[in-house]
Amino acid sequence: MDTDNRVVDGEILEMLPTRPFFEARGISKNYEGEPVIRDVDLYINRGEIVSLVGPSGIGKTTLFTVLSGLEKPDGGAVFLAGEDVSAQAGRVGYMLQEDLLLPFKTVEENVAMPLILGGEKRRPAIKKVQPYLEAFGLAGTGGKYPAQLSGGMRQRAAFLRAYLFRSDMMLLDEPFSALDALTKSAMEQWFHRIARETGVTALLITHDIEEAVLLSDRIYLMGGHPGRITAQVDVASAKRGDAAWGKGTATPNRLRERPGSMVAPEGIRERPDGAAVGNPWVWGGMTDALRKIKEDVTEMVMHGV
Amino acid sequence: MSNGKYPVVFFAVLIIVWQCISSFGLVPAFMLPSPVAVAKAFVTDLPLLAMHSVTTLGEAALGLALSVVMAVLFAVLMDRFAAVKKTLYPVAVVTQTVPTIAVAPLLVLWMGYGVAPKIAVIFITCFFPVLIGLYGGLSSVEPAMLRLMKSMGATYLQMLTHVKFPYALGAFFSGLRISATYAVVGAVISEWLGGNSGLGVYMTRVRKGYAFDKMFAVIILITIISLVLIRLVDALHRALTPWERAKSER
Repeated sequence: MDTDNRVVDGEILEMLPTRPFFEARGISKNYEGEPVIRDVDLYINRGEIVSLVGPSGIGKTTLFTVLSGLEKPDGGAVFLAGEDVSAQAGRVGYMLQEDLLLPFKTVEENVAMPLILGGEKRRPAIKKVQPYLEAFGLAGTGGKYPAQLSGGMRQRAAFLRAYLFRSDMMLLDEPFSALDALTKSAMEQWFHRIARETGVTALLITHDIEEAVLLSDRIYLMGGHPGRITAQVDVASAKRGDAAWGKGTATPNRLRERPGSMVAPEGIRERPDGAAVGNPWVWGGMTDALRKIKEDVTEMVMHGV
Repeated sequence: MSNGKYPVVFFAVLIIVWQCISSFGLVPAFMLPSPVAVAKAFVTDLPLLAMHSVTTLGEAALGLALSVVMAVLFAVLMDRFAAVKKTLYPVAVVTQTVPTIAVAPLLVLWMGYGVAPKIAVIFITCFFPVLIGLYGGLSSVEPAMLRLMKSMGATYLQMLTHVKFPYALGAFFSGLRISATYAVVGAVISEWLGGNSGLGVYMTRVRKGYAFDKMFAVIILITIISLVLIRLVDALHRALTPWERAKSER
């Protein structure tokens, strides 16, 4: 069984024989009698960013509709913190490729939607989200409509909305793939920093292997017909061996639009144990070790391992 | 020349030609009064026209309000329950193929010469465009958006108020735009069949008196009222959709 070990400065901070924070066991799903995914097993530890890569049409998004509880699996079950949450919508944060911001609501109203849907009044909800706007690089955009924002900014707002809904476990379905190359790269660095600061746990679908390598601790590969998990690749170890591991808090390649403060605003949930949140790998772009992983993963995807 | 000027010039030329035809006596005045005569009739009868307009506009407003309320109710029911949609949609289409002018006399027989048959005629003509517009808008929201809202635990009522209604506003107002003009015409037609006041009643009277100048005056008034109503609906649409304008000022 997996243990959630976290080694910092040679000291074991926690060694809990716990079950993974988020877990899918033997998930199968059919559409119109046709099996789309079969016996998918995966897990994500708390604070981990895990990627799911595979060719398109393999059932990644189908898997997500099951993991998010929007649809009932035809076999298997989904567990969050040990609890069976299969077919329970609203237990995890969910973000898609299109930003899906409501065009008729301002950015702050959009971001506050989870609070409003939870029964909060409009004004207090909007007031509550203000500090987050700044921390997520959206300062000054609160009163604007989504159409007035760039694609990257809209994705930030969409991410923040998902984050404010459920920050403990997030499902991100190709969140950056609709962006142009420059914006995409900036958004990946932004996401890396936000994930570090907030310590979110996330499962990320992407068809970009470099993105998967840069952003995640582990990578799952999907393949076959019906789709299943074909391999699992450890990235975190390579990052640990990297010189950039655990060095300071500043990102070397600063985003032009990055907010002044690295401090999470009040209310952003800390890890319960109070440990440093997120992945302490400092963004350094692709290193040799990561390039090697990228090649291996590409090979595996190409040859359908 | 800006786009708005083309129709203005066209109408100016048309009126000049019309005036010439009348002045040179090409068509006798009792059959086609000159624009000047129509304008005179319009001014002289203005108090009378205003009084009748109040009646007609009142009926149109009542009928339209009823249509909108019912359309909202049924559009939501159709959107929520597939069975309601399957039952009502064909019925709603049939009401559009029934010739209103043929049914109107029956309605008068059943409901008398009061306001009731007029409201009924307006309802029959106005309900459908609003219903179809609104239902189309409600049911065409991107499925991914609804999935996302559902993933955030939104109830159907919350989806309606936060997503579906705002998305449907454009389609709703296209329907309302048509219905607003239908409402006035519907009121006038139903007034032809009987009543004590209203532009339709006025029309019937002047027609019987062969007062063609007044006939033209009331036709022009109805046209103006319809145009003003369309403008009002458009203004309301703009006021309720500030995000549409925000797009251009990025």
